[in-house]
Amino acid sequence: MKQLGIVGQSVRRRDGIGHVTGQTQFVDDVTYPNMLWLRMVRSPAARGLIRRIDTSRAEAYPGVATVVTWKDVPNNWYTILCLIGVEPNDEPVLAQEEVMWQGEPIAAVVAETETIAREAAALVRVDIEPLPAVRDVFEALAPGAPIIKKWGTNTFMYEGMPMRRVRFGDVDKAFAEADHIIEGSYQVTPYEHAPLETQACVVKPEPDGRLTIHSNTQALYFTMDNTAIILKVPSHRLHMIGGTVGGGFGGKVDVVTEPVTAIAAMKTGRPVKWRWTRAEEFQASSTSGGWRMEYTDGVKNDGRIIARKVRALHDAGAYHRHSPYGVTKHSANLQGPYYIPNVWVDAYCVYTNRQPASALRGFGVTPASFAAEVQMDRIANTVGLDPWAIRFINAYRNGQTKAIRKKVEDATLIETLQAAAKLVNHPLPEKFLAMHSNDWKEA
Amino acid sequence: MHNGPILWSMSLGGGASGGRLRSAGEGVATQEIFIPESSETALDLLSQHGSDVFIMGGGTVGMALIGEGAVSPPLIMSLSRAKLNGVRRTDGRLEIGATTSLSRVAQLIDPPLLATAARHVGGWAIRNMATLAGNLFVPPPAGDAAVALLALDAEVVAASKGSTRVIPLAQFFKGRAQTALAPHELVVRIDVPRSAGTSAFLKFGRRLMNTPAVVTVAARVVRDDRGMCTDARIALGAAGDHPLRVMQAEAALRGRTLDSTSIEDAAAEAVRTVRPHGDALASEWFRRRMVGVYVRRALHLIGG
Amino acid sequence: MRMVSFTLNGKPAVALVGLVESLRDVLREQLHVHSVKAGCGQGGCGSCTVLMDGEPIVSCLLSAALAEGREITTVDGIGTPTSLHPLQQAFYDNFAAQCGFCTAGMITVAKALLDHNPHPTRAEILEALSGNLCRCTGYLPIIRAIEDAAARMDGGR
Repeated sequence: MKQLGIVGQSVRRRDGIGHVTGQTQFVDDVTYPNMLWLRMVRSPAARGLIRRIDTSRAEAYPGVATVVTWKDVPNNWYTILCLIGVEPNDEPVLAQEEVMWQGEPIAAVVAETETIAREAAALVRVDIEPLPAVRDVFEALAPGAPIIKKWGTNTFMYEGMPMRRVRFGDVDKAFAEADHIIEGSYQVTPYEHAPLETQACVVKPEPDGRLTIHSNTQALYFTMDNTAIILKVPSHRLHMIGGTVGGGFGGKVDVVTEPVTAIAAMKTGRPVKWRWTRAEEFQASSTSGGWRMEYTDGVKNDGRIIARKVRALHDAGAYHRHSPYGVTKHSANLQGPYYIPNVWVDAYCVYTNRQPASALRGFGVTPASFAAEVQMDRIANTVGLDPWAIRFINAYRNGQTKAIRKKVEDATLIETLQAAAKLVNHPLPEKFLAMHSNDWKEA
Repeated sequence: MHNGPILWSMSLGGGASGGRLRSAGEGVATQEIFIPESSETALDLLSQHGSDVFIMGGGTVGMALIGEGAVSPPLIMSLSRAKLNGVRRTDGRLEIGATTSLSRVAQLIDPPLLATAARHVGGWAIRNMATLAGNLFVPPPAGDAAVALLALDAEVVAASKGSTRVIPLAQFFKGRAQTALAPHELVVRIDVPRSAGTSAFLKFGRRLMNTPAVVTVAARVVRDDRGMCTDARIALGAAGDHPLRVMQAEAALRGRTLDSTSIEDAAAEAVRTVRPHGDALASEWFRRRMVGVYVRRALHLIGG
Repeated sequence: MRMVSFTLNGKPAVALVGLVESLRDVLREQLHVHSVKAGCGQGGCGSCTVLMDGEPIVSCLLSAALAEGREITTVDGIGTPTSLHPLQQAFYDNFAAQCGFCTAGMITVAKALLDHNPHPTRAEILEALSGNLCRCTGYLPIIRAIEDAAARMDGGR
């Protein structure tokens, strides 16, 4: 066999020496002469109409260079998914007419020191007329609930319907044929990524008219495109410098620091740094969304799942961010790696007046896996089979069709279960040891 | 809900600075930080400025509040250099200087209850900075060392310019963020009398170490040679406005042996009488339940 | 403002500090020691840990004025890319860093631990590190690195 240079070797991290000597540069370690610091003023209300934003006292505070509001934002929309045609625009970069969640950014105070920026931020006065807020998905979907989105529903519309649908086979007929109807209700709370490094950005205006942007985003080109759209500048004007992210986990994929910091730099002609506080990281940065999932399965006595009906509610918080996409991913994964001939899924992307949700590790899929696997154990319990058996019996094979109408390819659940059983010295019956992912042939 | 259009004036920018004085240009409200090099100087300053001075022991609470802008004190006094640290033992009575670090307290062999409690506060770096007296002033759910001190019948030595008095710790806590200290007084020492009996310390947090408490228990039981409880102390942290003793639970043990029944009675009394707060760490009902669980466990540890 | 002078990694350092400015901010903003990180400002994450007279402190909670006359050690004083301390070599060899944000603080505390206790048990390592959070590694590689370093420094005994 050819001697390989990297594969098979234990290769130390390229950045390892920098890490262990404290030399690795993070965004907050970037500093420029004459640099200003930014502090964001955030909504105290979960929902309301903005009647007035008065920045005069903050602007007059000694050491304050400027205050940035919606008026300074050339294209005051933040939509990630607009780049792939998901509409409508729903999230302003800085709040203009209304606030939709407690913590929503309203005005950015830019000052000589971080302390001055913080002190002056307390002097910005925003008059908000509170509106009734919806705090969870059930409240949002209840008849008579306040409608918080401009298009008239509290859900994202998928091709004219308020939910993402999967329709495969005939669940009602299969439920009638099932020996057991097994229900399960599952929920996942929102998680905060809590990276050790908070979100941060430094923008320096260059003499040639470009902006140098240091950012700890996980998605550098995405950030560049979005920032260019918001600033209404061609993307070649932006010199993006990424690098080491001090923990992302999906929490640094939203473009939440660069546009406003860039506007502040352009307004003042000076470098500007925005470093989120730990409190902001917990209370204002995106979290993963909460989920509530209701499963109804039709199961035969021999353990085969012949029907699955799921109603899933995702709490997107106040704005799209990536949630409409996450709900779609979730819907495609609810059956797990199992063959189920009749599937009905209604998955709702629900808006509430809460901190917007976004990606976190396995975005949309991990809640589905959690629910699907606990449901498998519940099924095993009900029909009197062990957890290994129920999975061997239901594992999908290559060539079978998933509920989303894709043919299964590269199935490996059976082989993985067999290897796992061997690893833990769990004896499997011969019939399971004889199974493999290619043992199904179309009739 | 609201009644019609209410104009909501917002001053939330990350600091509740109120109407305090500001020094123009520097951006901070603090005008002076005193770092007295003796307790006399500290008391002198305190007699001049009284409650206008924000006192910092190790700074582990104060600096966080100042850094966030939650407080903007015009005057600050750090006690780090005031020579109020040190441990002395006289006839079995332990005299611990107010600014003795929790790391130092954690090294004490006797009484083991105090050292164990001190080791449960924060992490190593925090313990190196935090002071024993400071632990009397931290808001719940913190205050693990204070809980142990209560169970040990500790006494607070409070000084002002020209006078000193002793306040039993059991009478020190008056309410939420309220103590028996007068505005010109400073805690200079905490005395721990020689203690009898067997003790146990348990802390239930959200991590094994470096965690705020869901509940903290320090228990000490004195038994005669027939195994009868002659005296008991059951002190709790994170179970109310401040570290407290549950007297009714203590009374439930007196005159009885320490067995499942008496322990159950004591735990039930503790659950019945406490009024814990709910917070991001634990709800009120969960804290109440854990009070019962951990009082029971602590007493079983003592019972053997 | 006041002048503060102290020893930083063996060399004299002088800074003009604000009345309540933290040592962390003075080290980072004035003295450009960026290995000391700003993670929480509450002493809860440990990424700002430095040694003061050999003992770990969280520099975000120390008023810089109190560093007067003291010896401050950061990871920069423990080893450099061209002269790694065995702890740093062990962290590197054991993949004890992913994003790297907690690493300087971890190594600083570990140095103090091994100075006090050259043969720590795993329980002692855990207790020493409990004030330092890591969101990436799950801690095990870090613990192994410290055990590895202790063994190496002990001549492999």
